[in-house]
Amino acid sequence: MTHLTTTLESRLFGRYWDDGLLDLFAGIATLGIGVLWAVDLVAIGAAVPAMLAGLWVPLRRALVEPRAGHVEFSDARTGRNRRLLVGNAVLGLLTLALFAGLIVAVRSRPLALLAVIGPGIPAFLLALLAALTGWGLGLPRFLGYAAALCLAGAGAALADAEPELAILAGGLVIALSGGWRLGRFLRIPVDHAEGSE
Amino acid sequence: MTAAKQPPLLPEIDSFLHELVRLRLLAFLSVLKRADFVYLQRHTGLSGGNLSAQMTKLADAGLVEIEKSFVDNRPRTVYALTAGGRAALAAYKAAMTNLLETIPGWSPE
Repeated sequence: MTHLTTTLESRLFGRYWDDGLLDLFAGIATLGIGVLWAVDLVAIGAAVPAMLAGLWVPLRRALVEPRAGHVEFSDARTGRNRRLLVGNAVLGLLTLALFAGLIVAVRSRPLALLAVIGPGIPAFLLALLAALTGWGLGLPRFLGYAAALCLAGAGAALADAEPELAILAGGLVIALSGGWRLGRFLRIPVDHAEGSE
Repeated sequence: MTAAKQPPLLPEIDSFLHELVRLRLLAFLSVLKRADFVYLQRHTGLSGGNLSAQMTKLADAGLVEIEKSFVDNRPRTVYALTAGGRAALAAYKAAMTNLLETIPGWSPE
């Protein structure tokens, strides 16, 4: 039996991400990719989200669960999350491969359109990942992050700037939003009431 | 001579479930696999004492199972709806739906 269609479950699932930790992780991952891109370590940049993923459970347990509690959603919801995670990872790798292919294509035979939008392409592709995350988790603010990345990408393309500047600008927006959300969440006192129940 | 027992005119409602706080807790647990004390307290707005007391009643009735443990030296109490709890909630919902359907709809004038 699936509960994905119930309003209560969807609302609770949406609130699960309200603490801002996911936003902060997404922002730091984007910034990490941008920084590594700037020092010509693009391939290592792809490993940043994977490295951050190892910190997810310990940080969530240390910072979030004492304040928000522990919850396990239905098997249907868990399965959907797993598919979204795998989909994002595959899309991330495809994004990297696509961009590498575009670079080779532009270098071997300059294409007018690619030459114009080239600096914005990495940010556009990261925007696609953000949009997919927002759609999959039901978090509209991630669509806003996708829009910020698109704007940064368009800016980079128009100014013919380096691609990493667009990534860093978009990452900064996401990280600041995540940091603000997490800071607000951490002001919630840790409830020790259960110990005295 | 005793009169033949007549079927009830209205569906019978489980009065134990028909209590707002217990019903709210069961509604939350019905859409979750498991949730701990802090999570339920945060989302229901109940006081710690009230939440604990109601959960104990629900567990005594066999509707909810309670698992107590320690995580990082902190007590954690996790609650989940039992199969019996799920069936009781489904029966309650069906009975309430039937009851409400007996009420005629009036259009506001």
